[in-house]
Amino acid sequence: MNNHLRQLRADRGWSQGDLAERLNVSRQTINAIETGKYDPSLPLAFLIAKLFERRIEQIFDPGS
Amino acid sequence: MNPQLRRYIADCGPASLTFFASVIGAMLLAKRVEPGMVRVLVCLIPLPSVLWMAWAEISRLRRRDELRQRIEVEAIAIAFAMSFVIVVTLTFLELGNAFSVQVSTVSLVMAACWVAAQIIVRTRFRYWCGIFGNPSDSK
Repeated sequence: MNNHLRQLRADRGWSQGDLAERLNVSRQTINAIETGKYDPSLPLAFLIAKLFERRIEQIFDPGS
Repeated sequence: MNPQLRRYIADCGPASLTFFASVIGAMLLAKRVEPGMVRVLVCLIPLPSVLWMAWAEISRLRRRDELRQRIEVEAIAIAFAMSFVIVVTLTFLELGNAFSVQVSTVSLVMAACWVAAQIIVRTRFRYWCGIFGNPSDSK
């Protein structure tokens, strides 16, 4: 699954650690999501969407 | 002291210490007891502390970050499959009188498989942050 998390995070000038702290997860989890190695759980996806004030489908793209 | 190490000691330290103390105590006591039911009971003294350790580890896992939980569950699944194959192979070799395997070998096989599985899964997710995790590695 593709996502725009890295871009959204960069737009706010946050490090992976900053975002991890705001979402109460590990920095490794943020890195794994950004690189597409891990798809977040639905609760975490909603948290991310809420944090960036976007809909989930505006951040995560199921791709082809 | 590293905060993660301090948390690990708080979560699992008492159970681990009790386990090692009960193992040493049971080993020393078993040598002084005549073979029979009493010795069997003495040898089983560490069992409650093993259950305590398992409970402490599971409780700790439930408080962890969701990716870390997935890594641990996948590692356990892979380790189980690996150790099952190895133990069954050793069992068949023993049945064929190829060689004799001690029961304690199984524990070593399980531990080695768990370490190998951790390396495999963590490499896939690039999750390297030391034995006890990093400061944000919990809920």
